[in-house]
Amino acid sequence: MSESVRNLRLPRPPGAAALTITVDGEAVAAYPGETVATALLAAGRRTFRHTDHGAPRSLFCGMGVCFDCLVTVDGQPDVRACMTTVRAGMTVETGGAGPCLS
Amino acid sequence: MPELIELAIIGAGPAGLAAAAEAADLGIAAVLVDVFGRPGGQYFKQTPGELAAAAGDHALPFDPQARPGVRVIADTTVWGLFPDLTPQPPLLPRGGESDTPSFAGRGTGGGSYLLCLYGPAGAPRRLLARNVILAPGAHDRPVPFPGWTLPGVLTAGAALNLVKHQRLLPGRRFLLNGSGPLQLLLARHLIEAGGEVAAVLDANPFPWRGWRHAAAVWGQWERLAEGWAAWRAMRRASVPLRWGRVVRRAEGDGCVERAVIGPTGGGGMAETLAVDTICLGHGLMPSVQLARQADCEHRYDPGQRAYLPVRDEWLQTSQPGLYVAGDGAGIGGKDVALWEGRLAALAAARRLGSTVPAERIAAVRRELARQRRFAAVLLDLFPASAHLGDLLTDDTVLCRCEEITAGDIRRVVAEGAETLNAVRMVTRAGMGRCQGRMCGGPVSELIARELGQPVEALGQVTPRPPVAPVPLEGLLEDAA
Repeated sequence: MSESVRNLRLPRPPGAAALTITVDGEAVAAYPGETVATALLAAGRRTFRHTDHGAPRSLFCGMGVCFDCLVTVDGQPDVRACMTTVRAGMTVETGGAGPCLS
Repeated sequence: MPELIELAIIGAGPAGLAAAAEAADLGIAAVLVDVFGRPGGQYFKQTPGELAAAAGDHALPFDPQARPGVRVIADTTVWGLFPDLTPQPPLLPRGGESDTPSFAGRGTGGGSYLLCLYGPAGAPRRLLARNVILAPGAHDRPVPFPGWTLPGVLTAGAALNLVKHQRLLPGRRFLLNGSGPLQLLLARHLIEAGGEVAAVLDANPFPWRGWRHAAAVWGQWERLAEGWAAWRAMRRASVPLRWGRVVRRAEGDGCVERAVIGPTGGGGMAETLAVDTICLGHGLMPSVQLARQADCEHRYDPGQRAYLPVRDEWLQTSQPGLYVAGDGAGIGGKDVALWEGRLAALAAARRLGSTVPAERIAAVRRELARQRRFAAVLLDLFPASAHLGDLLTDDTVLCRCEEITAGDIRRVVAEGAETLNAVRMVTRAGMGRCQGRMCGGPVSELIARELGQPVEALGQVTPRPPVAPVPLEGLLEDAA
């Protein structure tokens, strides 16, 4: 993870310890209290899934209404990344990567 | 047989929290159901303690979990609301004046409502409520343009949530596209978090007529100070605020790399800005799905560009004992929502036979009227006026769930579809996971435009339960 990507996070409180989740087989750092969407975006990942027509999608409404940010969490498909809080050891599968924010 | 309760409040934002507080003051056992894990809704959303020492700018006006007499059911979706058809024993007045519904009730002999819930293990799946206060709030109004489904386009509400409550900058170089003061607030937060804001576009012309509203704005110092602070932050960062401009299309390979902007009404010079994130803040859309599904009468409000529930002076809908408070009944902001929540609780209390002091009713009505005057100013200055029909190329997606394009809609309209239901049946627009919350407005406005008719002539789509997706197992009355 590059330095600039890590900087998307605003400072965490002193003593806040990162945990690790697995995204598409890769270890990704996240902080308790973050949503899956936050963890993905903080890692620079902008594409959360692809539609049936192959169009990339990401977080859009951020409040559980639009169902664009769907990912698979611990084997359960169609989970809203914006409504799901990370847990240590959580496994997230996206619907294919895309260009990243550097 | 589901548990029978006196009052269900659905939504723990400003309106729902205020309703719960007022009900508790009157000794009514209310059940507060909310889809989020923590109360607050969008305005009073609290930052998780693990992410920041402070919970945010807006402390909860009322902590329902700390208050005996209020039962909170969190993380729970209400996917259905049905007038109960089974007969119930008549309501016994507990003293005080009786309530006469102002609507000739289309309601039922049962006199209560069946709530269908889906939440964590242990949460009830069904409740029967004698009174229901819907406080569903609102979501950002989707205003489609070519490229708006690309990663990097997100709503202003989403961006504000991320930067304030997830403490995350959702991009590096932003373009804000929409209308109204919320955009300035978002710009300030993004700048303070270290983001670069290329420009803030307001679809409306500069609101010169603002001075006419001096009387209604007088006294709203907290909001004026908020606006002033946002304006100063933008000036310091040299962020241009450009009136009468909108994003015409977003471009990029797999995510946003550029935005093409131009005058709102079309024509004029188009410019290209290199940005990686576009925030959409064209105001809010009331969440009317549950009230619609419960068969409350709704009317189209051209000023709000939305269908709103018809309510009497007690905020009661055409269904007796079913109230709607806050933005879900028309966008008025958090202060209108707070006072409407209180009024709805007073109304439900009267209907349950409680004695409600006349002075309290008068005080709540007085403050609600004052807040509504201010809300009317905002609606006048920043109307939901961005009609982007000209921008919708045939390949622009309108229904994000089912990937139905403007061209698909135009084709079925040309083939003779004249109602929303007909278009939905042929194209599936509005039948996806969001249940039309995103595309409902844009699709109906495009059809109206193609037919040269007002939106209200197209009829409304019939809302079907579940109004939000739940797993099949979640429909069962008892958890499997």
